[in-house]
Amino acid sequence: MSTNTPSLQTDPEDAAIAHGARTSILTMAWAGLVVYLAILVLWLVFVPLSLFGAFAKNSQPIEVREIFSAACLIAIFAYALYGGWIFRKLLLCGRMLTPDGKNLKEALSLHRQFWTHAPSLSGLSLVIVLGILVLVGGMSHVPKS
Amino acid sequence: MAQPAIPSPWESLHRTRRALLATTLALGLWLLGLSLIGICVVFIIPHRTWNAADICGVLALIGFVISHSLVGWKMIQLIKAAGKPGMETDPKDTATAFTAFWKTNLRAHAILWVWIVLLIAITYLD
Repeated sequence: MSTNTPSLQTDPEDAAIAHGARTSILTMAWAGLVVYLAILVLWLVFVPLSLFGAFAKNSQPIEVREIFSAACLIAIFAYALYGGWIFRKLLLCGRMLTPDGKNLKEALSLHRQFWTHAPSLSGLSLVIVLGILVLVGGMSHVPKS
Repeated sequence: MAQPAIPSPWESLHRTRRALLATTLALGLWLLGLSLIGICVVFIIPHRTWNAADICGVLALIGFVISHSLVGWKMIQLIKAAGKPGMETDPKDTATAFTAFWKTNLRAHAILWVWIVLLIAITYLD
């Protein structure tokens, strides 16, 4: 039995077992990247439209300006970039999980970096989801004039 | 300035324990909160006639709680396998726990995504 202290060689059998996680990690990483890229694209489409008054024609300019205040917009943009940056680490981790375990050291180092940031990203997601729920709930209770 | 040396794979996993533990605790709170919301919605708050979206929503909540409880369990196993400071660990056990955790995590998220898509489809196509 070996210890968890640094060792120079990785057992190929251990590397082969760890390689079993490659598909799951890559799928999760791509899914995460697609979600954050979608948020970023929506942001890049929505902001110029709202700023240049495209929504004014739909008689909803006041709500749009109220909901998406400047601070909120910056926060969402930063959130999308942060999420993309974190999931890129997971993608690199998955790619480095080869059957021979040549880059296992680097892969698990990236895995550690991913998990260092993942709880804060998860907390931010919760705050944003709750914020959207509150906004949607609030909007649905506004009496129509 | 010289780059710090990358630690061994199992040492990296050992150093991830604190973040994994924080995530497990957060996940536990999420599951507890969601279970309470589900119980309130189903048993306590008087409800109008149930439609497909309502039933789908409750089933999605149950699916989320069960699948993510399994993720939490696998995460605890991974934390245990990564070892306490100075404790001897078997790399084979750690590698097995690592793979098992990621496979369960993917399955749980796949269930979640399917339910979210179903819920959106039923809500907007109803």
